Amino acid sequence: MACPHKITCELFPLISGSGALNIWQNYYCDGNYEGCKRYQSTLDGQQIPITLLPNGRTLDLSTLKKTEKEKVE
Amino acid sequence: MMTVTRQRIYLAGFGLVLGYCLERIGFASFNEVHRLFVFADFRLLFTFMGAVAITMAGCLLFARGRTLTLRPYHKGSIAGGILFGAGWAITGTCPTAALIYVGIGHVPALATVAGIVAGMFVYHRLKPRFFRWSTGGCE
Amino acid sequence: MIRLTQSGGVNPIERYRAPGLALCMYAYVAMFVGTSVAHAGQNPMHVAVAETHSDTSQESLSGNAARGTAEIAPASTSARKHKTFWPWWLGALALGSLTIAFWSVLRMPLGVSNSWDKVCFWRRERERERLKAGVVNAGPDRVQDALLAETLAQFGPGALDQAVTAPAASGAKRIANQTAPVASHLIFLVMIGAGGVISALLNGGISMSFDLGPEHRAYFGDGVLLWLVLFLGGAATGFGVRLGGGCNTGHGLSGMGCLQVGSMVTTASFFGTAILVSLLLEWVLG
Repeated sequence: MACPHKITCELFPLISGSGALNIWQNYYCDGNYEGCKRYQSTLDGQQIPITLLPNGRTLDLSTLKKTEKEKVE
Repeated sequence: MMTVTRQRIYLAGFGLVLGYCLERIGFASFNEVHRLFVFADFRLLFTFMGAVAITMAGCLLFARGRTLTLRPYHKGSIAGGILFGAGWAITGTCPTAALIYVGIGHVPALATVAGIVAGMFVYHRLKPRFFRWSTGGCE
Repeated sequence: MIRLTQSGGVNPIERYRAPGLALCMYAYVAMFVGTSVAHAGQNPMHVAVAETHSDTSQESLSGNAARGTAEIAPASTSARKHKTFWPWWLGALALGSLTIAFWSVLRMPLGVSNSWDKVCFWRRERERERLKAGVVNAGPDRVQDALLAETLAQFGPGALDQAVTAPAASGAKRIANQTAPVASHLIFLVMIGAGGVISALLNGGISMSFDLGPEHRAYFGDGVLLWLVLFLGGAATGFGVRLGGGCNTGHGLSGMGCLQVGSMVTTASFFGTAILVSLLLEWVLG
């Protein structure tokens, strides 16, 4: 059973492109989609931010910037 | 990728044309809408049916099997339709025409606009408690 | 490669923008032809005649165009009594072509209640836009790195090797839909009102009134009751529209045009209810 929101999910294109990220898709979109925090939020009528990950964590781009800077230094 | 400005200009243009058409068709006139519903005049009914037929033909021509919009059946479909239908019959106003009513000088239509906004807020508050089902998309 | 836009890469729908614009222009032409058709018999002389002999004025207008309010408007009151509406075929052409043109140009389904929703909850929408802009600005590589980091945190280091060797998961057929920021939705709504105003100005002018026309006044008067009824009716509309997932543009035109089951059920439901309630109104209050 696949997630009915696959076609409109904003995050889905991001996690379906690369091979390594397919694990999200296997685990949530095509598997336990009812456990996906994004899916659960739609049931509450919330508009889902693109950065919300299926496990409930938020994709943090700011920390990544720091690590890159550290690398450069 | 369409820029925000271009998208905005297009939206403004389409809004203008849509408003103009709806007013000229008579969707912003309680008399006309009421006459549609009591079968006193089939003009609006034919307008609506014709518009749907043309949209279908357009979808077949332009979309070529691509889904333009996804609206599956869910538990709220019928109940929502009933509430909207009752509201439409009483006020003569669908959400599209509400602002046209106000614009063309019907002052009480402001109450309709306020009602629509209030109804949306109430729905938003009640959704997590009573309407926990998928409406078919993330939006 | 990670695609940031839902319709990334070469989009086949780009091809349809030209015909969409052509249709749009066509809708404009239809609009003006329609206006002239509706006004064919409405030069000042005819209007003057119409005030005494409403029958002749009806005959002078061609076909269905005349079957507007002329028959039911009482022979006094408002300045809008001579207002005529488009014949059904013209209205159908205009609305149908507009829906198609809207989709092919903007790549969003035409749906006004969605705009209402976005505008009502603008704060939430703004936050969402901000986060999305952050992701787009970060660029695909950085986003992929961040996602890989999250993947490691969630599934452990072994997961990556497993996933690479595992067969690729099934992709989903995507809908070519774009989103618009709140401000654009607001502009759209306001412009709908503005379009109505322009139409009214060009066809008989605007006059302020404290009812919704003579028939509505006959049912609900023009006092506190009217305002209360309109507010409650509006609330039912707003609530029902969100519960059903769309209004008559979103469900009736876009959804039905695409043969969506939910749209058909909802449209049948709201049309049926509106007919029942209207008949009841006429029966009880009329």
